[in-house]
Amino acid sequence: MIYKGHVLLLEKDYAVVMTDTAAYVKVIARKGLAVGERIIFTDEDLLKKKWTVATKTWKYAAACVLLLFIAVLQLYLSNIGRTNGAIAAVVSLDINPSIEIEINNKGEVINYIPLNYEGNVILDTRPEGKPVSEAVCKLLENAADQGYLEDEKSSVLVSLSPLITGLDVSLEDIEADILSFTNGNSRLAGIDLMFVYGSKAILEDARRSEVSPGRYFMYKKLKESETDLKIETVRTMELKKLFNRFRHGQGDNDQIKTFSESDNGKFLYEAVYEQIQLRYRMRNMEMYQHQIEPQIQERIQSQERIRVGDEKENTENGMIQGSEIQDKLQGTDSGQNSSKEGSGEGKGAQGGVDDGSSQVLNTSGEPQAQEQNYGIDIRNSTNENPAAVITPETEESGDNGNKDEEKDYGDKNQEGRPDKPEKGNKK
Amino acid sequence: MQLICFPLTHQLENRIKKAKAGDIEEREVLINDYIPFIIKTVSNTLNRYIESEDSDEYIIGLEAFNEAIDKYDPGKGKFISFASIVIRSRVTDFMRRQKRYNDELMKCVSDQEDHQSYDTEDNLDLKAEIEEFEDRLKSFGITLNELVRQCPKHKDSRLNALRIARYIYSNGELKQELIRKRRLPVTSITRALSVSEKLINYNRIFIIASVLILDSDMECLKCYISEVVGGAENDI
Repeated sequence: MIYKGHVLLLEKDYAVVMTDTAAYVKVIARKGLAVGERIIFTDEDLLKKKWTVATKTWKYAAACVLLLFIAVLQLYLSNIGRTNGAIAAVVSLDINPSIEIEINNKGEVINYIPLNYEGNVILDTRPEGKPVSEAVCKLLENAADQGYLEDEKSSVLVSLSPLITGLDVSLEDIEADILSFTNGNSRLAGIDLMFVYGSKAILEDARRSEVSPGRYFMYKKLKESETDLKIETVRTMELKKLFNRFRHGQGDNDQIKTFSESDNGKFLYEAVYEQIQLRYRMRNMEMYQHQIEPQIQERIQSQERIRVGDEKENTENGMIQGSEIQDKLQGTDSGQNSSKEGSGEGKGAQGGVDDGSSQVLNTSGEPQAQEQNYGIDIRNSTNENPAAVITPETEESGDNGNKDEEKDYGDKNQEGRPDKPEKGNKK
Repeated sequence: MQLICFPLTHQLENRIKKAKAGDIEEREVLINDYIPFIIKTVSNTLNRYIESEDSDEYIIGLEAFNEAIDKYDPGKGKFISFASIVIRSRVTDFMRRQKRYNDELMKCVSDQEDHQSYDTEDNLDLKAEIEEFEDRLKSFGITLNELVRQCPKHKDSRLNALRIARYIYSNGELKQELIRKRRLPVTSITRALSVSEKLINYNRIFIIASVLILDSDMECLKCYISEVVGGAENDI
């Protein structure tokens, strides 16, 4: 990088220069330098303790250090165990500063890794052994102090990637702790905080691609619909834009997520509930807990007895297409009737959560005349009043629908279907 | 080390090949990418800093790099070493030629052995103003070395601090309060600009120095401040 500036002070070994970006730096003194002189210089001319001017191979040295770093990291990742010193998960934080935090099985910080220069700036102290949520909150405060959160609704991305199964600490708990802290902090309450959950594979790919795990996660998701998306684009994209793209860019049919094989057999409401938990992150976790969850529970009391994987009788091919559900996702408050018949792809009842401005999830209980909607309208709100409204819609008499369902799935009743679902162990 | 170097060298050689073959865009991008290298090599040859992009030595350096692209033979060694030699050679030739000319020509060029050519009236004025600025800083208990230490590293952080400085400077009362009391009117600023007290205190030295610059006649330094603030406003 090249710098331009004027010399303000001349000492024996260095000069103080004010640059054209209003920074004050020290440069190595050279012959002929004078106060008031305008000069052009490079990074190598900056006075640094461990810098030598004539080093021709600094780039290669930096590359070697990076290689060594990656090698050591690989060693870490391949030696995963359950001891306190072993890395059990990685939490990353992206604002503009980017930082990775390695934590042990108990969620305590083992190591901080700044991923860019700004990351180093907010890592003034690096206390280890702290609970990671506390560390993240401190970093957010440092970032606010340094002016990185001055924008209205600054975007902050936190990713949580477990490296082993069966962590003693719950990643959702970490998320809830961070949310709770930021909501209670006047400087941080306005930030647009998004949590994503990665994996060991995502972490490894992210490090190979030299981006943070959070950004890499978003890149993978966006690439499903934008096949020519490049990692370089995501690496340098402003976080706010990335958030918008992530939230709104996936509104077409193909983005309706189907349930996976592991969801087969689950009651639809359970699978949906899990998807909402996992895939939709609300800022206001407290509100979610107090308002949404009870309403979901209320719905659970109702008659939905469809299981993922069930086929529908009296339909052409028995399946509800994601595209038909998409038809319902028109941003209406109340949800609409889902279609009765599908055109036959995929397995089981399909549904999902669309991260658009208004999200409605529908599934049809029963084809033909009896329709029942399971509408969950969660407004993707980073605005003043996150509104979360459950709008159950029953087209015909609910009882009739229920009876039909019970008739269809009577056999399944005997398979030990729970009367009420368990409450999730989530905060 | 060889494993790391090889792909980098190979990539560069491909680019040079393309540029030599007539790809003008590639040539321009290549030169642009290596401007820091060119500046460093010219400075090292002259054993002083280049003054500006208009200076003869800088242009000679660019031309020499361009020449190196045309003359480079991959079989004879690394391009960077070769380019370095060409640049040093051309710049040295230029310096020797310059020495043969009379004093009038040397005034147009910043020759390292002749400071008189540099000390024009403007430069002396600026030097005096900078010294006055330094004295004013001292009256606030601030030194330039401290200013370097406390300067916000990130451009956005400096922008925020500069906005505060500009606000103080443009508000006569606040400016007078600062000069009189030798400290920042923190309460007034937090109220008016909705910034945190912590932010102001963190960047106290930088903000005060910026106000003093704005309150001086050092147009070139004031220009740097306007470019940062103005640039951000243009982006909005």
